[in-house]
Amino acid sequence: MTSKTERLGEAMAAVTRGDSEAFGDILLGDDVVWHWPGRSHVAGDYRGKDAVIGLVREFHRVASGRLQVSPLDVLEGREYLMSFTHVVAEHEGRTLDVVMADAMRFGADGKVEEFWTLSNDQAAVDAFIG
Amino acid sequence: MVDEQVQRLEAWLGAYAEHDRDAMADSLAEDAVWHVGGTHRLSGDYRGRDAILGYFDAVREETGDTLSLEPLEVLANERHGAAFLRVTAEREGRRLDTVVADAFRFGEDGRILEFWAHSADQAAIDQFWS
Repeated sequence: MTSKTERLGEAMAAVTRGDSEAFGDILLGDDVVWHWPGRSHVAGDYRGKDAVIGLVREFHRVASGRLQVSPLDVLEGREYLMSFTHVVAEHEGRTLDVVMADAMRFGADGKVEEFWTLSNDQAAVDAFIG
Repeated sequence: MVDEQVQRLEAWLGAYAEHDRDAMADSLAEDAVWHVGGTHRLSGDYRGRDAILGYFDAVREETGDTLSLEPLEVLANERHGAAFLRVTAEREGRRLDTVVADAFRFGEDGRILEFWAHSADQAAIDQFWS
């Protein structure tokens, strides 16, 4: 059986090549909830795989110049997983460079049921996304 | 080393639960940074051990010492840690009950150097502290 960490790696690779649908199919349960923090126009809760795929598509739109997600570390537990990534994004001359921590709760089928994104500089993320 | 870091996070949570301010201080690097998300009265960045302990003093005072952190899963390696906690608290007749994902980065001496958190229901947390 594919480990949570392996599944996440495949999903992150899909995001990097711009394939939002593959990201969803590999990683997300149908009833997933994604909590996106902060005050930007995308902040809030996203319910269902299609809604989350739409959010990922929006990230590609607001990071039109570059969206590079480099894994730093993964902590895998029984039910939960925390992934630390270095995110560099560019859009219309602006650059974002932050460490994000993605927290996930997995269901029995190995797919993510709940997803939180944490940034060590939320103000910078909010300013970049707008 | 990995188990030591899990124990260190558990010691941190235990010190909070037992009101052991010295043990809490011992878990933190002197120049630690604590990012408290959301848009409520305690949101913001706390820099340095004393400022972080002051934040927890404020949490205890505001909640009449009802804020409880129940670990669901605690994960760590030598660089990073994660704690998934059920947080319950009461304040001015309001009750908070949510799951929070906490991310930790450790310094070279193993102490907590940076902390971020995000709740499964940030709106409930902001409302609780409003």
